[in-house]
Amino acid sequence: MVRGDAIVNMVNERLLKSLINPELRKEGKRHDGRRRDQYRDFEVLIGVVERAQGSALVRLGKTHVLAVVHGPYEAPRHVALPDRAILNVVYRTVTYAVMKRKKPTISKRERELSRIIREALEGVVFLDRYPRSQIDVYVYVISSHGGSRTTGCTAAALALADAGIPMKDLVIGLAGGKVEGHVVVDLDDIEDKIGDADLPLMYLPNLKKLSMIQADGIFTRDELIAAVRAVVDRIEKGLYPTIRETIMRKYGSDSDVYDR
Amino acid sequence: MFTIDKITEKRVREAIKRGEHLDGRDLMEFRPIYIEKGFSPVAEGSALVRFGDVRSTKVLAGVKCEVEAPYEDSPDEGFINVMVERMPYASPFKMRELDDEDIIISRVVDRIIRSSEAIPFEELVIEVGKHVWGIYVEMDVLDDFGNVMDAAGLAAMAALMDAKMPIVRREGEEIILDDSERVPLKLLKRPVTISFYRIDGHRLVDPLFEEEHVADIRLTFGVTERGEICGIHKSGPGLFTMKEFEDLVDNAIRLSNYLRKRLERILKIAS
Repeated sequence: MVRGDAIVNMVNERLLKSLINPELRKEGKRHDGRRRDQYRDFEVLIGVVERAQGSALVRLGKTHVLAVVHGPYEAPRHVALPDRAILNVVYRTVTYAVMKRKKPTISKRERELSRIIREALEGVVFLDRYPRSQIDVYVYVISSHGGSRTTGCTAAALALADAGIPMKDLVIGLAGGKVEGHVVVDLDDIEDKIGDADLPLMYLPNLKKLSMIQADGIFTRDELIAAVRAVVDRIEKGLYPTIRETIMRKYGSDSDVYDR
Repeated sequence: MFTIDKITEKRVREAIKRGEHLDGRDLMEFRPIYIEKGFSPVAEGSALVRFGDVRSTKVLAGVKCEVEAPYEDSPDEGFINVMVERMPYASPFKMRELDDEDIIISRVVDRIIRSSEAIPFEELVIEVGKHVWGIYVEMDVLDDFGNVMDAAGLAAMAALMDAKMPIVRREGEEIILDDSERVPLKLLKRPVTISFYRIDGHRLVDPLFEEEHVADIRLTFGVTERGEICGIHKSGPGLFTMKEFEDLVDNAIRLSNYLRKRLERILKIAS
């Protein structure tokens, strides 16, 4: 029996466009009242899952992502590497996290994002400290409203930090993009759909390096550079201080541990 | 059921003999229960239920309402689908993605909600034989520190109570779901799930993980606010007498009021 999916049109583009308030647009603000360089409400909770070695819940507006770290533990022999640990990242969206219920089977998108996040972290974690081991990172999107891959990466890095796994730096994700011809920071689900371009970045705030970049849509050279700069600026001046404060609140003194 | 190591098992049995849980509670006492609604703002309804302050059992429940074709044997009714899954790290025993225990918990919670007639399925019809509402209640167990059964039963009800459905509009053949206005999902009853466990002849509620795996029996009841029993499930190899059973029914009805009070007193968080 054919299910009713095809004829149901939950969020059509017409409805979305009508959501954008012309008053706000005149003031140079976005549909939810944010400035173009303003990210959504940001909150970090560390150590929410007690069974796990490390865990973190990151909230960016209505996008909520839980990351959990299990390990390092001895890897099965057929996959173990003699000189370093395997980093196994599993990115999943729970069925109720999206507008239209997600089917519980693993999608291609989930496979792509598992790999994207793994590759963003592999160069940052000191995997050579744990030969023949495996570290599992589970990234569960429990509410998805735009920017789940970047928020997922932030959560994964924080869960690794919470697990006490040595890393060169944190990895913080945030997306930039282009909506109605303007460069904006942190697109939500609606802007993702009506926007012209999307640019997720994952950034190391202390080493000042990018560990992942993707783009979807058309940018001119100047727009692209402006978008990257705007996102990096928000990570360095906004997200990172908040995260640092949260970590310090849980793990003690504000002084640099390496000085002692 | 799984097996627990001998030393822990001995500790559990000694505590039960003294008439208390490993954490010092009375045998018939629950851990503190916390319910937070709106944990997943994109879902139609959601709730995080925690049993305990530290090493707490945590169940996250989300409700999605979807327009679906009805089942062929009930063209004039909507339907509900309940699924519980423990995350791979949630329990020290679990390795596979989905095991029998998850299926059992899903089935029991599903049966209790369904048979309590809490949801008026005949009102969840958009067009007879073609489109009905399907209510999906899906739960992820973040931490299993014992008694996932009752936590899941409570989480499912809390998420359903939080659920707000989009309004259906017709434009010719097309069905439009209007997200700007929402109506609460209609619930006629509030069944709760209560499980009794037995260790060395002593009965207890809300066991810790270690206790749960020493128990030889688990008897789960669904109870409505009118004191009706709307579902029973037995797990484990233990046997029980009629007298024991009658006694548990009375206790189930008594304790169900306590759990239901917790459901009413819910913290509102997130947006």
